[in-house]
Amino acid sequence: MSPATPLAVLALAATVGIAALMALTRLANRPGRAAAILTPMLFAVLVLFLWEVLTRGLAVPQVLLPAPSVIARAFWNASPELLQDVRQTVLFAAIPGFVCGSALGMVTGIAVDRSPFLQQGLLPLSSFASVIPIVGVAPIMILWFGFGWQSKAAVVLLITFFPAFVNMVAGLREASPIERDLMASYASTYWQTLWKLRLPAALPFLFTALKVNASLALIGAIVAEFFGAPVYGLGFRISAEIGHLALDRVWAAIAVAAAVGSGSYALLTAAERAATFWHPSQLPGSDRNS
Amino acid sequence: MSEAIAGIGVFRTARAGVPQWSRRILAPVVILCALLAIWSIAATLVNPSPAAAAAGIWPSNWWNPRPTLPSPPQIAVATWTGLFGYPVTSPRSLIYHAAVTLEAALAGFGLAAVLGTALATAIVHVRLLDRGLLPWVIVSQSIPVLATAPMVVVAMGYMGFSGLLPKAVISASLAFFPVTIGMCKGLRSPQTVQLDLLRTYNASGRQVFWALRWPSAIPYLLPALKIAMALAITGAIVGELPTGAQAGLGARLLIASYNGLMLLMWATLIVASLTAGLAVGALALLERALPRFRLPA
Amino acid sequence: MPDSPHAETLDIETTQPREQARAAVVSVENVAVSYPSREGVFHALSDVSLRVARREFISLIGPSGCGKTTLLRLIADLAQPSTGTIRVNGGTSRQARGDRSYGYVFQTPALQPWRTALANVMLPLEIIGLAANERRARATAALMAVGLGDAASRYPWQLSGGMQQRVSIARALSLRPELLLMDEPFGALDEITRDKLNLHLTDLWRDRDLTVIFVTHSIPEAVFLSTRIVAMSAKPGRISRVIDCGLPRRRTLDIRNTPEFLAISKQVRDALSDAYANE
Repeated sequence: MSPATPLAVLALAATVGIAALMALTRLANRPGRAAAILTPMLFAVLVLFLWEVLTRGLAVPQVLLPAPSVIARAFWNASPELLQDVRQTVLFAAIPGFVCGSALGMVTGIAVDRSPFLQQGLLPLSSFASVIPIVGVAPIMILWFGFGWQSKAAVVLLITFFPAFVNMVAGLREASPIERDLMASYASTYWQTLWKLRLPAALPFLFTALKVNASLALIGAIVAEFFGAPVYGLGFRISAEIGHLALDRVWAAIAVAAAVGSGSYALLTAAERAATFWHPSQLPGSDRNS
Repeated sequence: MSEAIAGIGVFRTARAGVPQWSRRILAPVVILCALLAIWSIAATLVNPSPAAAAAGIWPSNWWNPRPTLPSPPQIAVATWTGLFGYPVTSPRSLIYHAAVTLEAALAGFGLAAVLGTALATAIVHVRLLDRGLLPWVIVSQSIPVLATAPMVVVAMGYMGFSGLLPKAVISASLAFFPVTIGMCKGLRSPQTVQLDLLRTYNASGRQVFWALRWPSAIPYLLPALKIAMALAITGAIVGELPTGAQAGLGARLLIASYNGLMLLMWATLIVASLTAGLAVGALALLERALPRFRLPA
Repeated sequence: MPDSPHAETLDIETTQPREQARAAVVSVENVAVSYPSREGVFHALSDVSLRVARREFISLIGPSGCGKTTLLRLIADLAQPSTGTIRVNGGTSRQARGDRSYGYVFQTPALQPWRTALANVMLPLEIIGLAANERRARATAALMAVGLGDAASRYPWQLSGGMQQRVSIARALSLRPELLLMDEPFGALDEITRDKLNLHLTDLWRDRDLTVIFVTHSIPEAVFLSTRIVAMSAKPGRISRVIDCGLPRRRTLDIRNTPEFLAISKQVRDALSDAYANE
């Protein structure tokens, strides 16, 4: 590899890059589901290839950007540790915090449903909460609950509460006046109407909240570890390996975090599709994908 | 339809004794006061302070110098002192630290707004980017981008950049995605019939963009910018954590964390929230100032 | 067809004198609805009285804002009058709603998209707590009655507008009410579909001894379906004229070409043009 001159590397990358882009453009212009899936995949492969060739060929220092293959090797070598990190950050901090925060937010949303005053009072406070950097409470939680996963779970709970609450309140408003009149014409009780009409109608909102919360939970758990953690956890791994300038390991930890994040997103999207198959955004013919 | 809705309106108007606008302000204020009251009671229960009691300060539990749960007045005093107790240039002034953070956040926000809009424009016009890149932009929302913050700082430090720029880059990398996605939606929001209308004029792509796509996208842009601003400030604060930075709200938070300074943590958090609130609030005002229109979906 | 041997003796019953007050299914007395608005007090309804006997088919017709939907909502206890009384089946409208003694069909089908047609029809039966097998049997029968027996497992979005509205009628029938309240149920449908459903509705009304109160904008629809037509006018909303419609109970679409039909249509049109004159 070493005798390759930077110029030759650049020329190779440019040639391959341009040729691949031209081929991909033709693929992208094809209709159909196969092309819609294949194009982003091949696009990613192209990016990885160029990343590899350029970092190696131009001898980019590891501190700046390690090559994908180097990251992959680091991942392989560090996998037992990374597994423990995932257990700490995801299983102990992110998931319990996510579940408790989302559930609490939704229950609160139902609890204030019958009081317009409480709604009017809590909604502005919640939208303010969505603006502020809540993750900053991490040091306070560490003082309260210690360095372990408990403090991280508390941070995640706090972060995920507000989106769940706001979306529950908005979702419960989703049923139309006519649909509510219909239930009223059956002399349906408050809880019957909630259960048979308003909660199902709110499901698309709840899934929006869950998807937002899934990524917030992961970010919250990782960033909270930057403030202090026992000797494992994804956030701890990232900040510790940075200290040793072991960028390949940092990248490996980030890749794991990304995989967990997009995995949970995919899982929730699948659940959403199963639960809200009836919603216009899920019906065939609509290609909204976010 | 109109009659049915009017019929519902009857009872809504009849029930609301207090005018809507004053309720809208009253309700949050009352709730906030209630929360502060609960908090104060909790603080009374949690923090016994023999020292303050001996000095005859009442209620003594509110003035524990090392509180588990600081009382609201205690936090208020700490915040006030942090903000106005020192000259603005002093490293003890929270205004100074907020300015440092805000500077980086605004730089990152600006970068994200420009790049995000540009990328969205490209995605809307280039099919390869639409099909090849947009899915990744959407997936990236579920990825903890903030986890890369320490790495960005180190990598940029290696290249000789430190201080504002790495933080701005972290901020931008967070704020970039909502802008891109919002703008893609916005630029695509014109209805087919409107695009067809311009086609009957044989309008060029550029004309369609400026006459239809761009104005249609504005109502989507501003909510996206508000999200971006909030993320940019979080990004700047987190960007200050791993650097050993001396200035900025994040650095302040870290110092407070290392030394167990509960009051400083709260004061810094409050200032961070106020900063974010003001920055996003400014955008909300801008949104309100712009003519309100939205094409029916 | 009016002179066909099928024309029943029952026809006379529909135009009986008002003395049958005690047997009235719905009685509305001196009802007014008003509420404050930006331009002062708005009178949605003013001094409205109406008695509906068993097996009548009443159409409420008039310009928008005349309060016909409001009147229907009052009878259904979905809204309350400012003054006046409303009795349904001899009791209050609240009791009638509590007894589920009427079926209400809205302007839009208001089907729940997460339920199949059958499950939508079962919804009210779930609310009243029927056993599952009983629910299924009754809902299936109701779907059959509107001719949608084989669409039971389809979702609302897989049905045409006319089919959706038929499901919503089946849903109202599943409670086996004697009183049917219908608020412009066919307003959004095309002419041909509307004709079909009108024919279907008049059969249901006759075969099941229903009492129907029907809000519409369409004069031919009102004349075709009704035993009595209540013309209303706006500002304030009130009843301007009640027109008896002596067509036989058994009706086919051809009836619309008979002189009787056209004469009644003219009466309704005249009544309405007075009402619209106020606009």
